[in-house]
This record gives sequence, structure tokens and C-alpha cells, in this order.
Amino acid sequence: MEKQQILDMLVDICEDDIILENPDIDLFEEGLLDSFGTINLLVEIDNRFDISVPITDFDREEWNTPNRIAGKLAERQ
Amino acid sequence: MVSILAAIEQAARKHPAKTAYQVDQVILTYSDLWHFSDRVAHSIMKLGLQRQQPIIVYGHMSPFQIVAFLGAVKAGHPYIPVDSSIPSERLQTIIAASDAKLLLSTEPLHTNISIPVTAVEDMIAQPSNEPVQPSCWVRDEEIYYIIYTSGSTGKPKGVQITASNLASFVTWMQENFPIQESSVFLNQAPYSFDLSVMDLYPALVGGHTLHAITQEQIANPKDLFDSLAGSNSTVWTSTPSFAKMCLMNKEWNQDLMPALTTFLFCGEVLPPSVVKEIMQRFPHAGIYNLYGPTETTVAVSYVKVTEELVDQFEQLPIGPLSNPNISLLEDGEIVISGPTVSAGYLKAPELTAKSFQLLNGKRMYKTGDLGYEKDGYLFFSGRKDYQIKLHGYRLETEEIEKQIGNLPPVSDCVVLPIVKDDEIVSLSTYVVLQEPLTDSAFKMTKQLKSALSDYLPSYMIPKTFKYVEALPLNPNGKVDRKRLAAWETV
Repeated sequence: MEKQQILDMLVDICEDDIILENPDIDLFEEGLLDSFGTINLLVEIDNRFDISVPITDFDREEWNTPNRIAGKLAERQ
Repeated sequence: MVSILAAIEQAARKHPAKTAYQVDQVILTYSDLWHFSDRVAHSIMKLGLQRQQPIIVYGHMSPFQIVAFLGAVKAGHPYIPVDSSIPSERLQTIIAASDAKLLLSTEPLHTNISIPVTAVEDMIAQPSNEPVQPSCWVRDEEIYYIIYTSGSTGKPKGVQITASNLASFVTWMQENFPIQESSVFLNQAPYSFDLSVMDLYPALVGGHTLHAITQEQIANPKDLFDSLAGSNSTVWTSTPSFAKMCLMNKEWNQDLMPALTTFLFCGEVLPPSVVKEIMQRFPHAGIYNLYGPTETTVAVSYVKVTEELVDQFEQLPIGPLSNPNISLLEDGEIVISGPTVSAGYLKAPELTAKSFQLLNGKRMYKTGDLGYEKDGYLFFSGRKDYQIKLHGYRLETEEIEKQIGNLPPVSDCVVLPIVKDDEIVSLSTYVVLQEPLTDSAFKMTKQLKSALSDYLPSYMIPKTFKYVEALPLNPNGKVDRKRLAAWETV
């Protein structure tokens, strides 16, 4: 799992290239992710990287930027 | 016909200590609900407002929220529920448009508004248990509540529901759905959406318990499922989108919510895939697909979704053809008649006359929904206009366009729904700026989104902004939405 793949996934989900320019962007504050986007994200993580993140482990405060999401996934690999 | 308030009073007399409402760990009993709302009504009546002058109730899921609703109608006033997620400018618009003269709050209001604000808590603090005379209550054809919904003119419109509309709806619910004694109803929708009425009043009128979940819980899934697990809910009411979200958690099943026997879905198209998954997870529960716009009081038709029905049709029907209150016009538009048709839009006679018409001597609401008939069922096939449903939220893309167009840097714009797998997943906007972009597009988007959030709730703010020099026009000189939509095909 390359970090670039994670960023590409986020670009697909958030439909915005800004993620590549600014991987520290707060996805919730900028309106790029909401509760429904979160669900979508967890499905895609499972599909693309075969990592299953239980929704009950998903804390908005800790999964709010592309870099942090990449970090969380690296921990779980 | 049942009087909503008389039935709730009876429930309060019969079992005063029973829980009427629970949220987070807070509980409100029937006795408290009844007496607190009397106090609120007395406080309102002292203000000398004109009878039927609307009262805004601002907040989220606090138990005082429903105390304020009942307090207002006991004093003879309709209430306008405004969720605390609604931005201040929109609240101001609703105050001005409704001519409300009082706002009751159950949450701190961080903005200055032009009318008096009273905390419901303060009204309740005044010790008195004097009942309000039933002769003061909102009755019959008087307005009971007003719900503001997105309007294509650029301003939200207030749908007026009468006491008899609501009573007819609740009676219909009681007659058509298996609601056992001592049920627990789940409420997921903020009170500014009438989906909440589908659980609020059947629960209170029947002397049941209402379990509310908050936006904060929904944003933190662990809290959400803890709350669901501890709720003992028997009747689930939500949009299909919300259930879809819950399905993502593999532990959301009969083991987590063993008492759940009934699913009521409304507000948007119910996908068969969602139904199939719920059938597996909750093999003992009955699933119902309901249909109806806010203008005809929550819902007017339903089908019980069985395995045979799911196998028979690719798309689920929204009702049987035998429903006497629903018919199709020649162009396929669904029109609704009967005792739940709203009194019209508040202070908007032109809009009212356009949508509420006499047809064959009966007052009808023209829904703007298109439908067709097949094998004895009615199906939904789309809209006549630019209204869309996004995650269960009803919105007019034209209203969003007008608000974006009002922002100083913008000269023109179009808002388009983004469709994936036949489902609207987000909104996108094409913007023509007054001046060419000098800074990055990202900064402009951030600025526009931030400015827009003063006027529109977050679910109405497009996810992506694209900047173009001009919008493509069709041969008639109108914006060519089809061409733009083709650019959007994912």
C-alpha cells in the first residue's frame, strides 16, 4: 500500500484534487467528507487495501486529514 | 377523530411516570411532558400574541424541544421547528417570512435576531401546575406546525399543517402499521424535517416512548451504535440513506437491536439492495416503504416490502393503485387529495395557488413527482422540476444557484447533482466569476463555501466547485444542463 494510492482513493471519494496539493487539509471542516462520505471511505479502504476498519473505530478527530488517514492505515497493515 | 393533545393528556394520566422521551441519558416522563408544556403555554399566553401567530422552536434533540412544541399548540400557536444546524441567515429569513414574534430556544443561539428569545428551561422553572384550558388549544383547521422546505424561488417555503391534517395522519399510521403496546420509536431526523413527525406523534399519541439520536452521535458512529443498542427500539423510522450508513457496521443486526420489529422508510427512493440486506440482518422485522411529500403531512401511501416484491420488481413501488387519495395526471404527475393535504404555504398565495388546486371538485396537491402504474402498484420515476433528494434531504438546486449567484465574486452558476449507480451522491457547481481567478481555485472555493454557509445548511452546499469562463447554452439560449451533466458522467 503506497501513500499515493491512499491519496488517489481520497481524490476519488472527495472528488477534489486539492488532496494532492494539501495532504494536511481537514476533510470534515472543508466539507469534503461527511457521515456518508465516511462510510464510502471505509468501503473503499476495504475494497482497495483489504483493510477492514470497523465503523466504531472511526474517530473523526483522528481521521480528519489525508496524512492522518495514511498513518492510520499504515498502522493497521 | 382523535385530538392529538387529548390523546397525549390521556397517556399522561394513565401512566404519568412512563418515559415519553429519551435522548443521551436524559429522560422525560409523560407527567413532566404534560405539566412542563402547560407552563410553557401559560408563559406564552401572558405575552398577548395574536392567536395562531407562529412561534419558532430552535434547538436539536433536547427533551424541551417537544415540551416547547406542545406548549405552543396548547397556547393556540403553530410552531416552526428550526434545527440548530440551520445557519443564522436562513433563520432570519424564516423569521421574516413567517412573521413569527417569539423564538423558544432549547440550545444557545449565537446570533442576534429581531424577535424576543426565551429559553424553554426558564419558562419551565416557574412553579405552577395549572392546566391550560383545552379551549385554548390549536384545533381543527387551525395551523399546528409549519415546516420550511427548500424553495426554487431562492427562499424556503413554509408548509402549514393543520390540527386535523396531523390527526388524520396519525390515525392512518395507527390503522396501517403494527404498533404493539409499549413500543419504543426511534427518531433520527431533525425536527425541521417532517420525517420526524412520523415517529414523534404516533409515539406520543399512543403513549409510547420516543428515543432520539443526535447529529453528534451520528458523527461518532461508536456513540450512535451504543445509543441504538441501549434504546430497546421496536419501530425504526429513517431515510434509506441513514439505514445504508448503519449497514456499514456489520454488527448492526437483530442481536444489537433485538426488540426491533418494524422498519418505516420514507423521504427518498428505497433501494432493493438495502431491503435485501436488512431482511438478512433482521429476519423477524417487517419493512415498509412509505411515500408522501411534506405538503400532504409526512406520508400518504405505503407498501409492505416482502421478498416476493423485491424479486418481482427492479424498483420498489411506493403504494398500491387502490389508494383513493392518489392519482396520476396525463403527463404522469402524481397528485394527492384527502384529509392530509396542507393548508398551503404560509404567506405565499401565488405558490400555494400553483401547487394546491381544485381538480374534479377536490382539493389536491400537485407533487411535481412523476409516477407510473404497473401490476397494480404505483412507482416513482423522477421529478418535473429541479428538486432532488440528496441523502434524504429535499432540496431545490435553483435555490442553491440563487444563493451562489448572490455571492459578490460570482456572476453566474449552475448546480448539478452527481449521479453514481443511479443514485445522487453529491452536488457540483459550475461557476462563472466576475473577475478571472487570480489566486488558486482552492482558495476561491474555500471562500465561497464559507460565505455560503451563512445562508445554506451544509447539506445544500455543493461539494465541488468548478470555474468556467462561460456556461454552455442550448439553442434556446438557456443553460445547457444536459451538456454539463455529460461532463459530470463518472
